[in-house]
Amino acid sequence: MLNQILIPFQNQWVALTRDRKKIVASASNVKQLADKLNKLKNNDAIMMHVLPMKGSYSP
Amino acid sequence: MAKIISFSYTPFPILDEHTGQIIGELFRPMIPVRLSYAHGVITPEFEALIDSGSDRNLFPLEFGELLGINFKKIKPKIVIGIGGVEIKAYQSKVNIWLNKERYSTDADFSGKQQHPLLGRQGFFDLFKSITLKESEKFTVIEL
Repeated sequence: MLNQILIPFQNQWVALTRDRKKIVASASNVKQLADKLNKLKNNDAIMMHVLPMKGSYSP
Repeated sequence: MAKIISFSYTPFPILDEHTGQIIGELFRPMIPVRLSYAHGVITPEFEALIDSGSDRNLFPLEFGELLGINFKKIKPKIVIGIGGVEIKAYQSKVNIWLNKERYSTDADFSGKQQHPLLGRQGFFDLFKSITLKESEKFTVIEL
């Protein structure tokens, strides 16, 4: 479930499978994550920044 | 007939600040997009937050580095955020890709911003309408 798999990755960038059920890579910033996906030759993942979960977000 | 695309909100857990246990769930209007610059590389798809309260698009600086934007040639500007905090940002023309369609637009990039935001100038104004159906937890974009 997307909810729970994200918890260890707060304040990080993660790459998810298309069905958003699995994390295939993570990194501290989006460039590092994109580089990882490039090395994995993974063109299908979706990247996401995981916000902290102990409060609401008001950008 | 207007073309409409829709995206369900993305769920996130709410954690108790003391115990770290899941105490609830909240849903955010995030949509998958890509960025490109000039005729260069297109980023992997990423989730960005639809933010009607943002005047403009705002992305982490690392996106610009990924795209090959030379920020040394761009004069920085100020973007004001929550609490009146001022952050330095760089404005650049970019392409936003949504549903395999390319939209030439404009965005700001900042080293102080980690979460990608899609704002009114540069995203909302590309479309006929963007509706946040909060009770149904769907974002509907009329192209």
